[in-house]
Amino acid sequence: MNAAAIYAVEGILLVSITSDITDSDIIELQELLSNRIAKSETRGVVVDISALEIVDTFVGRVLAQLTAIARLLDAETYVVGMRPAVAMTLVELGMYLPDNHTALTLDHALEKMRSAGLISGISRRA
Amino acid sequence: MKAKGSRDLMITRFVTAVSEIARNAATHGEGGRMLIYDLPDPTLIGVEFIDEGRGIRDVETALTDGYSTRKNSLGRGLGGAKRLANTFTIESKPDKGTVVRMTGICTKR
Amino acid sequence: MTEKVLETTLQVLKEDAEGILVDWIDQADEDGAKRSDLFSEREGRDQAASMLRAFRLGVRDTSREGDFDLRDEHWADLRGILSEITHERVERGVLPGEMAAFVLALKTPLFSRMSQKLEGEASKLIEEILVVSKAIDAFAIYTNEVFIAEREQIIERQRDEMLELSTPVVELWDKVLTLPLIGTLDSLRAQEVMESLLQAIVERQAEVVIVDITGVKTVDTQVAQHLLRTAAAVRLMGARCIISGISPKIAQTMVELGVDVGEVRTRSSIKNALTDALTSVGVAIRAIEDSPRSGK
Repeated sequence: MNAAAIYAVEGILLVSITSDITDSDIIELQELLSNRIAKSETRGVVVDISALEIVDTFVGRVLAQLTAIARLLDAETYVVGMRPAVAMTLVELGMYLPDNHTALTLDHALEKMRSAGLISGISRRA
Repeated sequence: MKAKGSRDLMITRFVTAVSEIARNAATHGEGGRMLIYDLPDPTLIGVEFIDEGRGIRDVETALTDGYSTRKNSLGRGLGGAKRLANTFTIESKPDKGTVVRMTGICTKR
Repeated sequence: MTEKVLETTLQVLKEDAEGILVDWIDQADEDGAKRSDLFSEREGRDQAASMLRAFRLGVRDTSREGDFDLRDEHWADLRGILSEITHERVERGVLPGEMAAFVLALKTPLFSRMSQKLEGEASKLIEEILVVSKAIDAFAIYTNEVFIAEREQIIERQRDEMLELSTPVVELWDKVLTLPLIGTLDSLRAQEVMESLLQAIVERQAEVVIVDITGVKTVDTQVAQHLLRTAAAVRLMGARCIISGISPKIAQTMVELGVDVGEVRTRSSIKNALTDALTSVGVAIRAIEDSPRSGK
């Protein structure tokens, strides 16, 4: 699977999704990510969707599921990099992703996670 | 659509609608055909989906948000696609199949 | 139709171009199509002359082929000149009817000369007048179409400008944007507002946006829905949305309508919203201690 990659960054897991991701890739990602969260004992997951031009109800549902799975494994999920057109379309579809945290970019997400105490260690701001 | 100078938002909206319908055709309609049309009006693009699957018994209900035949689905696909497309028509006969026609706007506004 | 259908017309145009031009302008004056206050006599004459020249060339080529069609290649010159002149006159405030009347006035000098030429050949005269008449009518209509197209362009441009003006996204502080909404909020405008707001969030990397509805006349269920959707989209982008300027009246209507704002933060005044927004980006406003106005 090349369409998505999971990196360990600053004690959290960064999931980067590319634009050519397929449905089966996404389902595979769900499996892979659950294992990684459990193994790494991370408290935070960041899903970068800035490459996605389209997020339909299926992808939206998977994002919500990822969040729910991560939460059961004691990790909070941040979705970052959503494009304006995608945000407007999701709202039109009635998908507000209420359980996901959101942030503009990875940096913003890391900042938010630090202040929420999800990242251990010394905060950059302090 | 990009070639026709459509705005990003219009593209995203319409392609999402297309994706919803294609997914429906694949899961419920046992696959099908998708035809893309250049319409006489240069500011529009037309897409037609034809499947010969189970069909939809009650189209009105199927278009309602939150209605779904499956358990882990949100049931927002069909109604959402209708809202996202410029025009949307659906014809369905139980056990015969479903035809969905949509148009998208390709203008700057 | 014979191939020499416009023979006489062409002949007349060749023999007495100058006379036709003078008579045409006189006729147009009489019909009230001339607006000397808007363009000089000299200018009007030059324009008429170039139209007449293009008309003659078009007639020449058409008479070879026989059929009249305004879209034909031989009329390209005349079409170009017509739209150029029409364009110029619109800018000076000439009315579309006047421009059409000006073109139509060409009939009188042309037809009187043709009837002299074709004396005693009534059927041929009628046949030829029919064709020429059709052509001149088509040109008069064409000038009207040019007028309409110009107007539409102007309307389109103004509409664009208005939409842009009506959705001013302002950066209040680093990472803090505000969008003061004024007037009515219909679906089209709501979409426009949402789009420019989200775009601005990306461009300025904003973390908080304040949507101020002090200037919004009425908030019904639909407007409330638009506001909530905007807030939802802002959240999906990763920023926070505060709705400010909710008057007591609007608050009452919203409750009566059963609008649930959910997790969207609302503030009565933009002042409170700003304080709130600044706090969340780690900035505070305070009075200057030594200032004589700080009331020590």
